[in-house]
Amino acid sequence: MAIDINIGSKLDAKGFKKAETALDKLNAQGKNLAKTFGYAFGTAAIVRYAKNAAIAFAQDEKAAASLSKTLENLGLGFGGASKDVNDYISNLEKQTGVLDDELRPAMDRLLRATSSITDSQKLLSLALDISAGTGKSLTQVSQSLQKAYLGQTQALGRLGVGLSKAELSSGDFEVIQARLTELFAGQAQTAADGYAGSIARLQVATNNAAESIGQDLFTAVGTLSGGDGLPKTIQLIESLSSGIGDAIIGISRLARNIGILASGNPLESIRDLRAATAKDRAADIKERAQYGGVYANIYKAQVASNAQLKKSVTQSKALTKETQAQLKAKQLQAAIDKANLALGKASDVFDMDKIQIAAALTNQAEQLGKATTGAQVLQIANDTARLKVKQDILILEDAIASKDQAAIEAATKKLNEDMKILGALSSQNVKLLDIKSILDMLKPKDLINLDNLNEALRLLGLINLASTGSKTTPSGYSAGTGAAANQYPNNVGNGLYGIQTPSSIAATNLNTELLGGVASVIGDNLKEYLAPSGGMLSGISPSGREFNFTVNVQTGIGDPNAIADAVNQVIQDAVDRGTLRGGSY
Amino acid sequence: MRIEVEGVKATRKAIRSFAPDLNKQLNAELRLALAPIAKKARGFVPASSPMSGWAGRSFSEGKFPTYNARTIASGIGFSTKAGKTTRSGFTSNAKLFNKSVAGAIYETAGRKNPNGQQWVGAKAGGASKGVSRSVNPHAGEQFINNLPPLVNSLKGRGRLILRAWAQDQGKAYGAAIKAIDKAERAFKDRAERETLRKAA
Repeated sequence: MAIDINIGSKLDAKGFKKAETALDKLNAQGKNLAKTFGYAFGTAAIVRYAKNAAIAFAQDEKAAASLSKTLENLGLGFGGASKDVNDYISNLEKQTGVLDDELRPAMDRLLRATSSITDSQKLLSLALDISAGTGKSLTQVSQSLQKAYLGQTQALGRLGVGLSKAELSSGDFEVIQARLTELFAGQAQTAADGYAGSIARLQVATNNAAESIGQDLFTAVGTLSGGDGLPKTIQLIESLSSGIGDAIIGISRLARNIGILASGNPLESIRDLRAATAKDRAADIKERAQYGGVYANIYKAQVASNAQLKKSVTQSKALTKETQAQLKAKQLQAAIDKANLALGKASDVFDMDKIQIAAALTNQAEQLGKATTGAQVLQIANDTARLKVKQDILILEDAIASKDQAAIEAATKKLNEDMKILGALSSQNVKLLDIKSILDMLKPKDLINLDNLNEALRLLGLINLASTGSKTTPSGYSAGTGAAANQYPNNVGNGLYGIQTPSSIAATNLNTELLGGVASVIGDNLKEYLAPSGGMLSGISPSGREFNFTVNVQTGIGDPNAIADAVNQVIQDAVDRGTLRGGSY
Repeated sequence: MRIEVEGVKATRKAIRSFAPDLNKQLNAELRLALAPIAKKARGFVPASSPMSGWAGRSFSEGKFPTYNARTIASGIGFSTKAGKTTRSGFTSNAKLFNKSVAGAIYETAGRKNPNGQQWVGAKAGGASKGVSRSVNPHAGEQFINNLPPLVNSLKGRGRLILRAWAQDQGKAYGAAIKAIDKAERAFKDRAERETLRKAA
């Protein structure tokens, strides 16, 4: 959209002139085309001709009846006079080329004036001569003669026939008739013999043929319609005229089709012929529809049928398009499903969720090892529970995708259990057992489980027993019975040992080892060795809680400070390793 | 051989081809006549949108062109070339134009419907563009009321180039017509006096 202010606009007529020229050319071409395809318009023309023929016959019959009635009224109709008069007119028509449509009224008019067939025939001949000589119509001349015969000569004077005023005012018609006969003798015959006369006589013949055809049509229609009256007759006329038209057009088309067939290429000719025939049929029906009746009904039905057919084709096309679209969508969905399947397979390898969860669980296990407070342990337990829930969800999704009912049920059960744990953690109503069960998942069960925990508690109990000197075994723990209990950890097969009140260095060493400690000595080469069952340890405190180790260093002569440093280092290493227990350094 | 030149386009083409100096002079005179009007029309463009809702936003909400003073001002100008032949057969020698969509709206809003287009609402059926489909029944009226009044000129009512045209009171038009006529006469005289050759 733009707003313009045009300045100095002028009319450019060149385009209009071009358009006018083009229109003229188109008009001329259209006319030529109409001539070329003239036969296409023949149907209407033929129908029109048939109608005109029927009308012409009807009018001719009416004029003939009127003339006969006049003769009858004048008392001249006896002895076949009517037939004689009609025959006379017919012959006169053929000779002069003047249609009986004019001759009969003229004759009728003159008969009423003269009451004589002979005089009327003479006056009609004279009227024809005057008409041919003056160029006036036969009707006008015959009226003038009729008036002059009855004493009124003014009309005759106005014809310009060359009569003097004296002759006209004399009132003697015989004189006037003689003078006119003298003046116009032979004019009608001369005119009829000329070129124009020949055309006129041809026209008469054509007209008579039309009247004849019309008469035959009426006869035929009368026979066919029987007693059904005028409407039936009119309908039959239309049908009959159309039939005649069909015959004529058919002949012209036959000639054209012969031309098509004789063109040399049989296949092409047949194709052309079929096309031309179909085109002709369509044109015929369309043209005749304008006249109403049965053809109009056929045409309307055909138009409706064509419209219905077109509508069906459109709907069919739309349906086909829709079907194709659906098919395309299905193909696309199938491709997507296939791709998803491939992705599912690949996800086993590259499932980032699973990888991340596994990594997170591993990390939680590491964090658990570093945890120093209960809050950290609780947090790790919480995170682990969440990760397990996520893992369960993924497992359940996989199970659903695989449509394995057993797997789905198992995964659902697992998910519910983990959700319960997570719910418990979230509400901070955490039991030690719940945390343990969660944390157990992070480590192999062989390393930390309830049995191991119980064992540890039992050992702790024993430690307490050993340190206090009590001989009462804590409830729930056996002291020295059973295959697994109280077994010497580093000397499998050496028999069972129970922790007893140490009475010697060897006993102390044994208890130390039973409690998981290591009693070691430094050898000659400054290496650390496990302490033998007897000797090398001394200085046990009276309470037995502290162990004061005295290390005898058997070395050669050397720097005492260096030796002391070496010993210090060894002990420090033992402390660092955690193998030096129960004492302080 | 005598050759008749008929029509604005053909005449201008002939002047351009056979008398480039006349063409140059004509264009300069037309520019001298029309440039002040275009400049004045650009001055009528408000720097900011007359309504906050018409101003441009960072996101697009619909097809209605938002107000942008720079776009509107840059869309106002003039041409010294022969225009296209209209449907009624007329061809212009020069023109002033306001070609931006927002500019055209600002120029002509309310010219046809002083109280806005008939309101039918957003839920009305049909696809007619001659009705208001805003949720606000008075949107069109409020829009027009927020704009300056239309100014009458001999070329129509408007707010930008038509307002400038009206204020010029025909001086530019007279100068342009005079320039065109002078060039055509000069070219005709030259064609009768000497043999014209097509410029290189």
